[in-house]
Amino acid sequence: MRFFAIAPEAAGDLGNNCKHGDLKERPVKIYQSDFEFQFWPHDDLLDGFYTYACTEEMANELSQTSFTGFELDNLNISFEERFHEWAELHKDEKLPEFKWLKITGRAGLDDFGELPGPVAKSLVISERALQFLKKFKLAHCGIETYTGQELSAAG
Amino acid sequence: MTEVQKQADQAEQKSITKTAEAVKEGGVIAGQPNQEVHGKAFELAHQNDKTLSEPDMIAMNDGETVAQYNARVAQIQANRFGFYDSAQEKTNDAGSAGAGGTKVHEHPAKQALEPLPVLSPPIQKPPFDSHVKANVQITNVPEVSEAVQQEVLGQYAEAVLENAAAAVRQVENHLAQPNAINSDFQKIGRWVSEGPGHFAQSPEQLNKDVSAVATGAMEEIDKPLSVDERAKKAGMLLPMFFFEGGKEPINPETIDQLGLEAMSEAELKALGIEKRVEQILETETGETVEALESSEGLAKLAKKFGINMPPKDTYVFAGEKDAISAEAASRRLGITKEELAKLDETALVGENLERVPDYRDAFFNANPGLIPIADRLYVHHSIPKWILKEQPGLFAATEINSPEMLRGIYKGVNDELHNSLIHSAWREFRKQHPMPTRSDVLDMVESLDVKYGHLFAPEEGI
Repeated sequence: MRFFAIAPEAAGDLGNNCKHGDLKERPVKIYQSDFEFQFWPHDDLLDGFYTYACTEEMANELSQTSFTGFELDNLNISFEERFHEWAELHKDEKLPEFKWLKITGRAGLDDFGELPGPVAKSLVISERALQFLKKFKLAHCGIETYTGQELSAAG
Repeated sequence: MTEVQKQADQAEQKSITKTAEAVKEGGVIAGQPNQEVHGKAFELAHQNDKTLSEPDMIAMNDGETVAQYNARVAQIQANRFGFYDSAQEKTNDAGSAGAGGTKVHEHPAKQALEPLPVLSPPIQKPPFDSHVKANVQITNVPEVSEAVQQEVLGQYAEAVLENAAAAVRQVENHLAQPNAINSDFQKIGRWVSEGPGHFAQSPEQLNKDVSAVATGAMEEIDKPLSVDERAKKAGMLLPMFFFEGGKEPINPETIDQLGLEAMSEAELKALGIEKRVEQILETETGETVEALESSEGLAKLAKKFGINMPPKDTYVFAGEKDAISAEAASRRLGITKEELAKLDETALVGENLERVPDYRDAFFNANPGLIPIADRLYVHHSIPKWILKEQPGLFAATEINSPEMLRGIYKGVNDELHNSLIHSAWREFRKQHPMPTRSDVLDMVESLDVKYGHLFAPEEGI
């Protein structure tokens, strides 16, 4: 199966109430989410620096699939101090509800996996997961073919 | 043998006889009609065959060398019957009359609901005047262009940004000059189209004109408008083009098509086109002119946009990314705001605290010409604030919040684009550099300034 390394829209960052592990580790372990919106999001899948957020709509459909390597949870959100400047440009829109897309799988094996180590696009998804995600807004998501090792179930 | 059996045998023999005659009459190749058909087919099939008695087999052409002649004859002999060789054909659309420009799509549309059958070679080859061939080229869905790739989108985005920025650059560049409000006499003189003698009227005339321009901009911007309305109003900041004597400005599409923005005044005059900004001056009022005639007036204008002149103090605790107000910092330290204000640098270090000017105030104080359009600009940290939290000590908060490290980003056109391009670049950098050095960070800042600096206000990295 082919895999893809993706970089979802970087619309957020670790908020002040985020509980995380060592910030020099890659990936950073996130124990409690606080997705701090830095600007108005445009895609259905967002990167808040190892905290991935997906719209509720995407989460609902994801939960109906047999994809491996992810869990869904509630997402705590906050806003960067100047977020309102961007929000003013979207007065007629409502910020969608977001869920926390926790990545639990291994890159190159599961449908959703996080690559260990310092890599630019650390989220690796299977081809079928990519096809699924493409049903949603992904206009600002960087997508590359994953050239790393494809793992077997035995590792 | 019974009578019944005899009748049956006779009927069978009669039937067999009839079949043999039918074969003889219609199916035997030696029959006269078949011979005629075969003869005609042979004639058609071999009409282009080459034989050794053909003139082009035995005669040399004018100017042809022996080697060329031999090669030509060898080529003919190698394919004496003129079999079709696809390798010799350059394109499918070089057919007979009517085939010019005809293209045979050998692949079905990518969005076809069902895969189409492969076209047979005769259908793919010209001539295309057969209705059968025309019909088989019809697919069951329209061909739709492929989805835009992000890279292409990025290029498109850059182009859009450049165009958008170029449109407002002229006025904003002027306003962005450190001393714009008291400089550039000749340019302002041209803007107001009142001739060189205009400024001889009084020493304050220039300030009044600039004030009018800037205030007009401010007044338009300061109204509660929708994004679209605001975008239209922004047009009032732009130099506008008119046909000589005309009252209606030339529409933006025509301006773009004719490249009027890039033309000199002499070139415009040759086309009978004038460049004016008179609409801006229509907003002039005595009150607003007065507001910009002094530093107090400018501060008053800045205050409308929440900008303090001079910048107010904020505080950043070590290991935190956000600056907080003096009130919040004093509460955390358990002292009064006045006591906090009296702490010197050494005392502040002792409290793991840095005193920094509010970054937005600092940016506009350093770029007063941008104050009239302050609410259209987002002040962006070229060194991201997360560096302060993740890499404590690598940069001081004062460095990150200094005007030299701040960039003005046009909000309207950058809502998606700046955020996507610049934040994505930093996100990938951050994931790749768990422990960046100062030079790693500064190199990244420089690379982004080089790439996008021409879109900032003021421009960077040019």
